[in-house]
Amino acid sequence: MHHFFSRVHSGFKAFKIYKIAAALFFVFCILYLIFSILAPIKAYRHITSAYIPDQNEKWILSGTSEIADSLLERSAMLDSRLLLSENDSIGIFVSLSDSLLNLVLQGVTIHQSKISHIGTGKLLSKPDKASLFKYLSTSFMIESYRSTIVKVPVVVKHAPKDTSEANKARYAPQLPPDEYVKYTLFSDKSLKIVIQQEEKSSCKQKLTAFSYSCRNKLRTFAGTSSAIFRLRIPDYHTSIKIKIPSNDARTIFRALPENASLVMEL
Amino acid sequence: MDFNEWYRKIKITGLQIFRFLADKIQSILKSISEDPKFRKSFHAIQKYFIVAGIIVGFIIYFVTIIPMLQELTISLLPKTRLSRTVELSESEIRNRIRKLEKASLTTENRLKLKIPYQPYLVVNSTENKFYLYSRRKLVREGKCSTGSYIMLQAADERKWIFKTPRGVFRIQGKITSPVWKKPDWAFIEEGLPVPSPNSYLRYEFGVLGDYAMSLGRGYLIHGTLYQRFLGMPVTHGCIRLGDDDLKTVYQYLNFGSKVFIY
Repeated sequence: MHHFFSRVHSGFKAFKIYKIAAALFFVFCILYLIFSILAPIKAYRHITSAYIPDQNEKWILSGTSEIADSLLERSAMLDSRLLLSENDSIGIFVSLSDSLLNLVLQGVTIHQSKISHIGTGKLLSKPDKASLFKYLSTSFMIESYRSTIVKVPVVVKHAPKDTSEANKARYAPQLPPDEYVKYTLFSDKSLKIVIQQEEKSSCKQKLTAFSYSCRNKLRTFAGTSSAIFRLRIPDYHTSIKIKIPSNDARTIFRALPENASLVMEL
Repeated sequence: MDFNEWYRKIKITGLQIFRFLADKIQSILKSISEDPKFRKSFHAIQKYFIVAGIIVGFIIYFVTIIPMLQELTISLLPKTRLSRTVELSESEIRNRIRKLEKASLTTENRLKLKIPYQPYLVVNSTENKFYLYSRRKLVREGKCSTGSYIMLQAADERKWIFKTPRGVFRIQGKITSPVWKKPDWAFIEEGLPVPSPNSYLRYEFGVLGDYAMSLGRGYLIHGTLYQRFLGMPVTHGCIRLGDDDLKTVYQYLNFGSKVFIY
């Protein structure tokens, strides 16, 4: 009898634990939903409030005429390019209007790539033009990145003990491997640029793309979950997706230094 | 027999075959389901499917539904409007537009001046290509060889990484018929003993081509005996050019000319 009651009690306890765990998980799901919805709202507030132009600034001319708007757009691009040119390290200039992606170093365009496909996030259509021009007139700094390819392709070679070993271990030149090129650059102003190759991918490359996508989603989940536990609204980056040839994409990714500057023209 | 008769017979035969198969399948399923071992494993499989379904449901929730709701939230957010405390008059607007045009032109000119008019070289170390510019126009392009990104580890824990540095450099020296003074790694990677710093074994003639240009920090632009490796990352950090390209680049670039490497 005692054995029977102890089995019932442990079964009931286990069932209670399942119920508590399920309830906690349900609460986590609701909090995840709330925080995920608050994230783009926070990014929206940041863009629309931090870049409200002062009444004496030139951006206040926005909306007065079409000429003023096109001049302000050009001025924003030129101001940010001038800032970029004063930097001694390599930066990126993305011109969505001309469909060009340029690598710039001290004001000199050292590499240019034609963009074949552009996709922009909806958040950039929300601020008024004056705030948007002001937002784009300063450069963005790339804080972090995620990529399918290695940034620095180092190969370790151990020194041979003698000439016969050296002759055996002659190293053949490394040609660029057939890899799927896609990377995301996260900037400091709620913007991320997703650059991927425009060529159709092979089966192996599709697997790499799928694995990259899974890792991305897992990191996003981890980032949002950790923000929930710290009771902070997670970061949201509105995205700009572009497709360029794989050689250019690889070159640009490997050329970018730490904390590279980015300038945009919409 | 006419067509309708044939059709009727085929239909009856088809139905009979279908009924026969259906009865057979039903009897097999009944005998399987009444088996107690099958019932146990069926319940276990059912549990696994339920758990798998819940996991898939949550994955769909976190991976698809949440981003969709974020996009929906953004589309529902209102567009902001610029508010001016003081309305600008027509003349004020025209004045400001004129000033803006002038300022944009000045910035544009400042940006143009950043591009050197004197000859400069651009080297793409990922694709191993070079571009020579003069008077802001491309005058020559071709293949080169840059750093192999090999990290050589010696037995005494010393390490060297053979990469071409990135950034802006200036030509600091120009030499004809250069002689290579071999550093320690050149002996270590061949499995040879390292000679003393002033040993004659350190000097090698004719391997750097007819010309060399120094970029500082021991990096050179020079020629090569291994022309077939041009276009590949095979060097220890220097930039190697083919004979004709090297001669042209040597003739164009002067002391202080810029070299952009990326």
